[in-house]
Amino acid sequence: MITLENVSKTYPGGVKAVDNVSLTVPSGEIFGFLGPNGAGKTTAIKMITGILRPDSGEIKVNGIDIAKNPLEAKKQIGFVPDDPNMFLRLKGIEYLNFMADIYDVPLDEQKGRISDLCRRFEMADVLRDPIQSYSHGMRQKIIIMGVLLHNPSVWILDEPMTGLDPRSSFLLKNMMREHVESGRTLFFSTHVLDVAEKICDRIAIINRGRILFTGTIDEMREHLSKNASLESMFLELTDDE
Amino acid sequence: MNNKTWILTRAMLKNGGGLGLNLKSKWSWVLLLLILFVSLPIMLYGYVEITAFFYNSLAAIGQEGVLLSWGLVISAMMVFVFGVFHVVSNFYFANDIENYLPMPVRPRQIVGAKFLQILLYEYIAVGFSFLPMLVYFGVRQGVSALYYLYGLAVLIFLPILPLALASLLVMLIMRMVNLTRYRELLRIIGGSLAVFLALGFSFVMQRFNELTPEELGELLQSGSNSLALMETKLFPTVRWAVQALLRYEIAAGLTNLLVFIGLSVLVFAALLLISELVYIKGVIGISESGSRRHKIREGEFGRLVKRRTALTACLSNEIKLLVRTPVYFINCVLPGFIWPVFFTVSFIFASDRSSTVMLERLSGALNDPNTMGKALGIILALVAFLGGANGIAATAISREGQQLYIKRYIPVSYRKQLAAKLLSGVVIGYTSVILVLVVLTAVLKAPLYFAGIVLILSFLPLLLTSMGGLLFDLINPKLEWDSEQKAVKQNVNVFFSILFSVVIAIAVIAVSFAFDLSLAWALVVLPALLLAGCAGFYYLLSTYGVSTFKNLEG
Repeated sequence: MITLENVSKTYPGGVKAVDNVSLTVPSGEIFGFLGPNGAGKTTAIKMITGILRPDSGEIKVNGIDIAKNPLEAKKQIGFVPDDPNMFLRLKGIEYLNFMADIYDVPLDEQKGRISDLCRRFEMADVLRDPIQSYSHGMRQKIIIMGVLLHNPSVWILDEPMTGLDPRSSFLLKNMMREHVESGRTLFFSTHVLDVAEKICDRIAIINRGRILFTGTIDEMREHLSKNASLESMFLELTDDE
Repeated sequence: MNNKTWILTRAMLKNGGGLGLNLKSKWSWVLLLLILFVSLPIMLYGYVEITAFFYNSLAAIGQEGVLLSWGLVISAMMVFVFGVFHVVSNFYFANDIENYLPMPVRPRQIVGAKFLQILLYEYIAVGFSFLPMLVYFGVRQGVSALYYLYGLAVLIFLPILPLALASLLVMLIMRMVNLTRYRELLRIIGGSLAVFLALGFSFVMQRFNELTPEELGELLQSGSNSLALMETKLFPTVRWAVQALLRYEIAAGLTNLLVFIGLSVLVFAALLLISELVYIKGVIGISESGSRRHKIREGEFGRLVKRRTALTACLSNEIKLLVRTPVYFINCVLPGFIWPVFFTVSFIFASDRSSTVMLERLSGALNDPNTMGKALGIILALVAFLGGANGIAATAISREGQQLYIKRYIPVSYRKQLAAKLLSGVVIGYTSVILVLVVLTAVLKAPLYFAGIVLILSFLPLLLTSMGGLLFDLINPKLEWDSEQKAVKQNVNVFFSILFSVVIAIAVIAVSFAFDLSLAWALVVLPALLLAGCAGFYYLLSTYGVSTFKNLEG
């Protein structure tokens, strides 16, 4: 479970990226974080994962305060950033070993999981190549594999579908479903309404740093017809991509 | 010069983020100014003292003009050596090249713009190496303003020939490397090869530059700065620059200056012409990364999967990045190998008497109990310098660039992450120490136990200079870059780190000589001194350093 309480963040220069946001992401459900570009999604995710510190408010991951106990909180999380261009000089297998070491994965579990993830993502024949030589989609896949190695109870993904081919996208959606069905937490951001509608159990809509709506997809549709400003924002979302 | 070259130059400079001096907090300013005001005056003082010594000695035989000629040749040499590293990094391994290749621009325009960009950085180097000497000579000679005007013109055109030479050599070597089927493997080796060959070339040229005692005698007899032109064979255009400065009062001075400027422009034009033929073929496909697609069989996972502590994993990651990224390898790792190797080679192949005598003296000092303590001081000072000059710790944070955020979400304490960065500097520094040890035992015949002492004690100067470098980079990291060479080549922290290591080196040598340390005392005093420094920096890093790292927002 993730909880945010009255969280705000203003960037130097005065842009209020996240404005007094309170949010609870329960376990057992796929939770989508929806909003147009520049709405504050990535800033909120950066604060949850410990990359940025909020100016005010409190963030807890499985009840652990990320400001007070950062290492323990970070160990709960598996985070897939929106840009998969990282660790490019490492070989696939070296990156996976690195992540396992950092997240304290026991050796025997590590072997089993790497070989299992390799099979599912069809990455076994490129593991000994440098990540630099991977395509965008393959980079995305290897990053996701590294993040899942320690079997995180909270999985956070920033715009995960971008750049994946339909097959990998389908696979990822299945894995996300699997993750919540075992009672764990999943939080992901997207600016594509279609994606949110298809896979989310519950969504939060953010624009200009403020949460406009939280609820199920059906509740959203109902809400949409009554709220003109939300509707115009949605046109923006559906126009995209 | 055509318009597109200017447009490209401006774009490259604006995109470069300058030297990375963007200080936000007041304390950063205070600390950096302190370093500048403490170590710069020390260096300048030493520089003026040495210049004065040579001026006086040379003036006694009517040859003070030689000073200018030395200054110019040393500066040109420096531009050439720095130039080789700059050219390899900027012409071939900079990520921005791929942005320019699809544009409708000629190769000579890309090369011209890259050249001008490097030239700006070379002016900083020349400003340090030649400007003080130019001014000192002027003051002592009581010259008119025209001398300074000519001096300025010389300063502006001086780096062009050596930098063009460096560019040509590197371009030809990279063209050949990129020909082969094995270019992926050869890429890092090729870059290193370019550096080695170019430096080797200058070394060989230097050897042709020696005079026999008879020739020297004749020249000395003729007096009035006759020697000044003898030092200029390696960079022939320097000859006209010397003449222009020595004879600025008469028309011949102006003629010489114009010849010097004309030749420099010609050489630059020739470089552009040749770049049309060789540059693109050398640079194309430089960022390609091949893959083998070897399937891993089930049984192989056991061998491939390893388990390490978080600290070892971070350290190994740092070192892999340094060794595998061509720009980092060539600028941070390679120099540590090059200097000890060139030192050895120049002694081994030195045929003249003075080098042999020098070698015997050094060897004697390393075996004489009266001088061993001081020798240890000098060697530890050298190690401190090598450790600070590689810039590994001084760019450890900058190298993260926009990926710094990764360090913030992984569950490893900031202290541990900083320790891994620090140790990467020490580990790579030890590769130079190993080479220094080879020189000590094989060439200078130092006793083995002495080499053992050096091996163990080197840890301290390496740690101290790395700690200093890391602190500078924490205070003033250069995180906004789009091309790796900007993180290590255009980073003022490397300069601070070198200054810092020079201060440490001077301190260690000063203590060894001031107290005339015996080996036994040196073994007590020097480690104690270095340890005290390490303890101070440990405190700074674990308090101020960790909290700064925590608050960095990449």
